[in-house]
This record gives sequence, C-alpha cells and structure tokens, in this order.
Amino acid sequence: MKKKGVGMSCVLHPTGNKGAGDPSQAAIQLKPDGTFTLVTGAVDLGQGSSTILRQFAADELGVPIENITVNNSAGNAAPVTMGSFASRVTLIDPHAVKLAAEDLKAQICKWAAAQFGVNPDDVTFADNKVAVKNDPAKSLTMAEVGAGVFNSPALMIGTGAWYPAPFTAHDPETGAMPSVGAVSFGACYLELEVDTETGVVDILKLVQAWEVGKAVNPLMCKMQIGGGLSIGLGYALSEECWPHAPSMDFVPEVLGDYFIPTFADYPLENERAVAEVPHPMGVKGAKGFSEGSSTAPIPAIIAALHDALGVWITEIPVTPEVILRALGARG
Amino acid sequence: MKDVGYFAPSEIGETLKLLADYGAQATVLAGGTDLVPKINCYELKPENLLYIGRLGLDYIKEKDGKLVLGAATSTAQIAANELVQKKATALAQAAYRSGGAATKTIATVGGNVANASPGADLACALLAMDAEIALASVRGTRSVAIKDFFTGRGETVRRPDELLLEIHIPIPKGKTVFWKLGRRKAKTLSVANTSVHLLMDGKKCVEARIALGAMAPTLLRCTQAEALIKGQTLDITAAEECAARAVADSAPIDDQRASAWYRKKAGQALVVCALAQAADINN
Repeated sequence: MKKKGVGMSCVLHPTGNKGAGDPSQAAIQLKPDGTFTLVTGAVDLGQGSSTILRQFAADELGVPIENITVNNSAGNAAPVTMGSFASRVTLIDPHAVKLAAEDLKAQICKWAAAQFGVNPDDVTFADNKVAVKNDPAKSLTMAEVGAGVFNSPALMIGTGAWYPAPFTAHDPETGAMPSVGAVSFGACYLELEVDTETGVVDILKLVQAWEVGKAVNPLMCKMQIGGGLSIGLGYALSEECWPHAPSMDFVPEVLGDYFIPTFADYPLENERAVAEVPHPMGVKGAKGFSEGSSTAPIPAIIAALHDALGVWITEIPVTPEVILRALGARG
Repeated sequence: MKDVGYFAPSEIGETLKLLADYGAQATVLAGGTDLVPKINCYELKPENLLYIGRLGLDYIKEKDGKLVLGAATSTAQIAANELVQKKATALAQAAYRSGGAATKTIATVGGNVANASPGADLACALLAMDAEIALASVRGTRSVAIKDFFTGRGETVRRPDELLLEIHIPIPKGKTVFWKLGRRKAKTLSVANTSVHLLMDGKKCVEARIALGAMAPTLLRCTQAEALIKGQTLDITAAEECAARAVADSAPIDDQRASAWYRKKAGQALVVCALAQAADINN
C-alpha cells in the first residue's frame, strides 16, 4: 500500500571560521591590454567560487566582468586563503579581493595623475577608464592605461589581505555562536509517497529555501540548493557508509555498491528559493550557505515518513529495508 | 601480470574454430559490462579474450512466429526496438531498466544471459517468455530452453567450445510485464526482479509463466506458483497467494544491496504488482 506524508525542517549552517583563524589574501594584476587577472588561493571545485570572486573584483574595480580572468591554480605563487570549505569563500575572501582592488585602483590613479599632470586625488576611476575630475575630456581608457603601464617601468599588482575578528567561545546562555563567521538559515518542505510493502520512497514535491545574506549570483544559489539536495537525498535514503545487515562483509568496496542518487531519484517537483538579510560581516552582506542545503532535506524526509507511517525512524540512510524493519517492529 | 591473448575475428566459422582450439582458455567478450569489472577487480584472470562484436550478431528480426535476437544486440537497441516493445513488452522494459545509457549502449543481450547472474534483468524477462538459447560450435548448433540453461550462479550448460549465437523468443500470446527493485530508481542492479506472462480469458487465467530474479543462485521459474492460478479466476487475493508461493521456493542471500529477509518481503510485493498489472486487476 502506498502512503503519503508531508514533512518540514528548519536548519542552520555555520559559514566561515574565526576560532581556527581564517586568513585570506588576494592579488589583482593589470595586464597590458587593460584587462585584469585576479589571483586567489580559493579553489573552485565546481561550486562557483571563481565566479563569485570575479563578480566582486569587477564590482570593486568598476569594470566589465569579462575583463577579469581568475587564476586559482597558481600554486606556490598564489596568495593564500584557507581554502574551499566551511562555506567560507563568499563570506571571507571577498574582503581580500576588495582590498586588492582598492590598492590597484590607487596605483593606477597615481600613475594616471602623472600622465595628466594632476594630483592623484583629482583622478577618477570609473566605467573602465580614468579621467581628471574637473576636466572629464582628459581621460584614458583602461586599454590605454594597460598599454601605457606596460611601456613604462611599472608593474601594477594590487594586493589585499584580511583576517576576521578573533575567536570568542560559544555562549551557552544566549546561544550566540561567535566562533563561526556567520550563520545561514534554511528550510525544507516536502511531500513523499512510501510503499509499505517494498519500503520504496518517492519524493513527489520538495521546496527548499535558504537565507543567504546577499545572493551574489542568484542562479548559482539555486543551483547550489539543487546540488545540496542531491547529496542530501543520498545521505537520507541510499548512501551507506558503514556496515549494515548482517555483517562487515557487506561494507561497500566499489562505487557499484555505493548508491548515490540519480536524476530518477530526484523529486518530480523541485522548487528552490533564496531570501536575503544582509550579514554585517560580509562584503555587501554576502555569506556562504551552500553546504547546508545538503542537510535540510534529511529531517524533512524523516518527518514526512513519520507522517506517512506513524513511526519515527532514527537512523540514516533510510533504506527500503530500514522502513520495512521499522514497520515490522511497530507490528 | 602476464599478457592476455586477444582475438577479434570477423567470421563466425573462425570464432567457433578458436573456441574449439582454446575451449575454457578462451573468455568470450561482447559488451564487457559484466566481464571487464571482474577483470579490473582481479576476480577473473582470462587467458584469452575472444571479442564477438565484429560478427554482425546485432539484429532483431521476426521469423516463423518468433523474435530472433543476435547475441551481440545491445540492450539499448532492444529497449528502443518497436517490434520488441510491441511483441515482447517485458523484454523492452527489462532492457530499458537494466542500466544507465552508457552501459546499455554496449551491454548485450547475449552477455546478460551467458553471464548467468541470478538478478539479470533481460534474462528474467526471457525466462517468462520461454525463450530458447541457440548455441553453436564446430560440432553444429543446438537449442536449449532458457529454463534449463542456468545451472548455478554464473554457471550455464554452455560447453566451453560453444558460442551463444542467438536467442529465439516464441512471441507471447498474453501480456508480459517486468518489474524490478533496485537500491535507487535508475542505474541499479536488481535487489529483486520479476517478469510475468499471463494469457487471460476475461478474469480467468489461461496460461501463466512467472520468473523471479536475485532470489536464488539462478533465476527461478515459479512453476508451483503458476499452477496455483492456471485455469483459475485471478483476483488480488489469488495474486497474493500466488506471489507467496513463488517466494516460498526462493533462497535469496544477504549482500551489499539487501538482506535475504528484505528480498523475500519485497520480492513478494513485486510479484503481486506484476500479476496485477498483467491481469489488469485493480485493487
């Protein structure tokens, strides 16, 4: 018999470190054609951190995003950041990028001021060009600046480094978590159908929403929620990491025995939503969240199974076998 | 590691001669989706590989009331073939659900049968259709009913010098269905599978064949369960009794995918679903 259930969950996800120290460095170099290379130690492992940092660099420099190239594979030569973990890149690394952009802008304005014969304070840097404040006819495009710098004894690399406020302990009285940089909040609602004879679960509809501070790239936020769901579904329903019935002989040894979800396991209807409450620690209010989207579906699935079957299941993954055993124990 | 001999003949005669010469020292390679993982995991160390993908054995045709499948016909071809979809529906369903696109593109129906996995999806459907396996050797050809073909896990009556050449399916008179349970909804081996052929006269079952997979060392034909419903009115109660009988004869094992306990429970539910669908029973 197929039974339907609905479930909801509210979760939080800490993003960025303080206690462990979370240094961040970045460098932006002006190239001879007037475009820029942003060098960062933040590794893009598919989550899109290069795009996010490129957006921040373009924004701070006031140049088209196409004019920024990201190099995140410079190895030894790269400025250091702590890495791509703890959903930290969007919260922490834009600070270093912003400072590097400001440094580079000051260097370019100083160089341009000498060309114009004015004070650096009288040079504006906007719309991908430099100009004299009270005499806008006197201007140089960034391509002209790049070429000019290249043909003079100058190398322009703006650098930035940032380190968040030091660690203070978790406060059990208030629940404040100052040891982490920021906290993001997520919620999940879902409807499922479970077959009481085979234990097979079908997620029919799933909505997941996250409060992300500032959606620096709204499309990527939604894609990340989708990716997190994929991990969460496996975590909740199929990915077995330790031995189960009946013995150690059946620990998965090859990927063929380790069941990550496929598209066919995805909900038929899948909505993703993003809410913005600017975070005081982030540049423009941005913070990380994405890893949290793998956790929210799990308690919602457990709650929906309880709604459908009347039993609380207290282990994951909830394989079809776990469901049948739980129903059997209830009698 | 020693070198492995590799032969890729383009003629059947030459292939049979190689099999006659090498016998058990030759391992037949078609799509390789079962064989190559075994080699990679050192479960199997073949002396010689004999590739049969160049023999033109990929065809599906209708002849004398039978569907004839060349052994090297890919599961993707079978899943997409209109003749199979229409006349041997369960086989098309089994092929469709047998794996992901990459696997189905190279996996072959002959390999699915010859590998003799107890949970083979296509072989399960073929068992419910009473298919015949055509084996060829330099000594001639012979035909074996699929219910007599499997002798154990990975073991068949194929002799070392024989090539599985074709599969002949008497076009089913009734409705055929295939159901499987995996650990996820696609790209999954069967935790349990079943295929049912039912010829109905109204609510009465005239002819029944039930195959059950991943529930014993070989695929099972559930003849005692079939006898329960043959000539009888088939309602949901009868279907449930029949399914219980089918599973009672099984002897599944515990493995990475599920326990024997689960297989028995879920396998029974699966047979009920298949019977209900094949007989158009609404609960």
